[in-house]
Amino acid sequence: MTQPLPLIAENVSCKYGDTLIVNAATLTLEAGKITALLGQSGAGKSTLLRLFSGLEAPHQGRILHGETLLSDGGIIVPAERRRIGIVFQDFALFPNLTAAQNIAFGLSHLPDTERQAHTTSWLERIALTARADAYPHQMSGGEQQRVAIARALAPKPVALLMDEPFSGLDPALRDDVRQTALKAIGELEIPALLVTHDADEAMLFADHLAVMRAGRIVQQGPPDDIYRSPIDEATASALGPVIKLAGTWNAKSGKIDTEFGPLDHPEPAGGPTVTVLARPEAFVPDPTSQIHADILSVRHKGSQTQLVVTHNETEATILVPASNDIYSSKHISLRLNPRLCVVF
Amino acid sequence: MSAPSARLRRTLTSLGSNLPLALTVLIIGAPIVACLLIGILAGGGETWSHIAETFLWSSLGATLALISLTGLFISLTAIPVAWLVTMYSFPGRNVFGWLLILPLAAPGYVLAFSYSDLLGVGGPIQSFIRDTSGLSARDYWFPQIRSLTGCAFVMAAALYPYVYLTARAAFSMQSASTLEAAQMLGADRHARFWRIALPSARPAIAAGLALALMETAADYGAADFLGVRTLTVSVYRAWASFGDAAAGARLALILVALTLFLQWLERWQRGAAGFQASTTRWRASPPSQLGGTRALWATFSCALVFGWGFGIPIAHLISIAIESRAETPPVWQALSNSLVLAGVAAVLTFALSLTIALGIHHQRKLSRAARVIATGGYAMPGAVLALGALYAIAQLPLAQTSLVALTLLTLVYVSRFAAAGIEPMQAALAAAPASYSAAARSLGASPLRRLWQLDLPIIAPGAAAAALILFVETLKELPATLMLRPFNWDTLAVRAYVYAADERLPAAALPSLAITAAGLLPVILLSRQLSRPRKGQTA
Repeated sequence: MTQPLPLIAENVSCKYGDTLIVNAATLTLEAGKITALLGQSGAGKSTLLRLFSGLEAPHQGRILHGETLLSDGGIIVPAERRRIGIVFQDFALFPNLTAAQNIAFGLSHLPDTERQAHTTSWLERIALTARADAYPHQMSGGEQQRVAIARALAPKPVALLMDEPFSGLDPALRDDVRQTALKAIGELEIPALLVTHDADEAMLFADHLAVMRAGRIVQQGPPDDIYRSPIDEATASALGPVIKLAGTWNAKSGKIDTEFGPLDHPEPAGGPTVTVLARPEAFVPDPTSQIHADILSVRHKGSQTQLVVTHNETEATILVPASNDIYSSKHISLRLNPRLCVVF
Repeated sequence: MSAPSARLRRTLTSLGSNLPLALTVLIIGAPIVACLLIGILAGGGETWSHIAETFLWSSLGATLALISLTGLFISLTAIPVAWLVTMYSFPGRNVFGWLLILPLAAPGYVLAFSYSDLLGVGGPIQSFIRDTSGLSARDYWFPQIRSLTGCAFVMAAALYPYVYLTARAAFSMQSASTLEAAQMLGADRHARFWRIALPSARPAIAAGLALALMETAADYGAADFLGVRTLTVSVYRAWASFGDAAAGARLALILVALTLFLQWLERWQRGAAGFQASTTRWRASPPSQLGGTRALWATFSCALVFGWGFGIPIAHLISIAIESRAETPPVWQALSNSLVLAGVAAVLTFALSLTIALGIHHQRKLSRAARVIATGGYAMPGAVLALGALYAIAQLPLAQTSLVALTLLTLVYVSRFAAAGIEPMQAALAAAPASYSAAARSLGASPLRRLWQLDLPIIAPGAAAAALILFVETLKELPATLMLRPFNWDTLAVRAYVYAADERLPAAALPSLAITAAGLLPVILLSRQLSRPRKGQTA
């Protein structure tokens, strides 16, 4: 195979009737990297995936593979000739074909012996050799999913698109399947798109993260950057829970005062009154702090403990490292970590 | 930007994929649209004024009375037996589970022939009464089968399985937990039925009832034979006695409006509550054991309903056929005519249904229109569609040959029954993952390969059922066949009807039984599907 190339969407729009489902989206899927597309249902994520695949035609804008034009205000290269692998949310296994036949479906260009060898090696890889002759309805959800991934990757596609592939599985299984998929993507060095509504999953696996809302890509970049510097409140919440605090610039101390004490921050450009969004883990237990919050409830979540605390009549659900001694009392001394807070 | 060429490309692609569907819509829609247009535009004139003055209102009244009474009979029988079979265990329960749907095999007119003989003045029951009591026919009262009530009695016998099936499906869909929750909240047996089970099964029951009543309104054979002048009978007469197809078509408009109203009524009352709670925690209700007299009553009730709908009238026909086997005229010619006609019509309808079912699944543009048209055709009585075809023969420069007549008759069958073929195919497709076709495209499969390797195998189980249903429905069809068949070219249904109308029941028995026997095939298939364990039941 030649050098893997990126898959590019340039300013693409798509509408059903008069409704813009995807609105001027620009996104590059770099080869060998996983791009996560995060958003709520109805944000247009799946439609953007279908635009990449050629199953849907953009009304405007272009889809390119490297420098090859795939779509340009219409389909130029049809889906069946793009060699792009897709893992569907419902797996879309062919119900009338066995696991092995499903995997072999995209290999019809190969001679029989080669096709069989290739199928067998994929079955081994996903640890389903024993289930080769099982039909989809005889397989568990996890098995079906592995077949779906193998089927998409077996023909050595130029890119892989995954539509919520890991949702609806139990967590242990999910990790397992995810590892299989990620390893294969890494080996093929192809661009991969992971459409998901699960912020944790997106941040855990993506090299590049794009947040989508109402048809627009509102922000994209390395996941950690977006987590720490979201462009607005909605994007901040999309990546995980935030606690909203009222802040006032204190010129004397050179800090922002909040209900949970001062926050190290340069002077806000928009005026002295600001909104501070703090991540649950931004509240750090610190015995030297002057902020003594009341503890309302304690809940242990393994390595972390979730506390509901209140200070200055403001309640916050926070996450602190698990510890035996601190939380037996009714109070806790806290300070805010500015790296986990955003000011608007 | 290459916008113009892109648009051209898009147009060409969409034309290519939509052409078969467009043709399908045209073929199925033509007779329906023709009928409506003829009725509206050409239906006036003298004959119409005459109809309006004489039997228009009485026909409407008879139709309304007939469907009300039939609906009442069906509700009073089908719902209780569905509840018994679903919820309780009693001797014969499993057998009755499928015996009770057998009346679907016999057309209403066949039951009407049998019952009119069985319960008529010269029939075995009244003869027995006279022989044992020594009374003469004028000395005692006996229910008159050739009456509106008698017709409703026969129609309900033939059509109650529609409601039995939907009610049973709805009852068995209810999770055991729901009824147990009601029990824990203090509801006794009766309260659980009246307050939980029945209301939540109401949409399904209404759907079955709407279907049965549409069939009742569209029936020609039974109503005409039993002397009830419904709208459908009047439509036929307008053509047969006045030779005015257009006036008949206008009369038919009322009938079409009535069926549309029934459909609307069903949709409307279903409202947002058309869904059964389909939770993954669904649990089958284990049937509770009935003991003593209660079990006896349950068995007796089911036996009574089965005997009414199938056992008694069919047994009577069989005994007549055996008694008179020497003088029964042969039915070979009619049988071969029937088989050829039903075969050709079934193949054509099958192809068109397949086009529509796949179009709907792949969300093609015209698929909605195609489905609406097909549903419309199913709602149109056969007599009405035949009028459209007859009008076409008279108006267009068509040679009045047998071939033209049979072609038009086939078209009428296609319009009338396409919906019945689409239904099982759609059910088969619905069980497949929604995006399997997109997956195949992403793997580089051409349209032909997708059709051959995926669509057809996936649709196969539903398609077999569809083919069988289409064949049998065509075989049973009476009024359109009666109106359009070439002179002296009889099918089984026509032969049975003509003999029965001639008061030659022994001669009518054999073709009637042949139709019923053919009808048993899809019914048995259906009952086998029903007895298969449902998803979640084995787990």
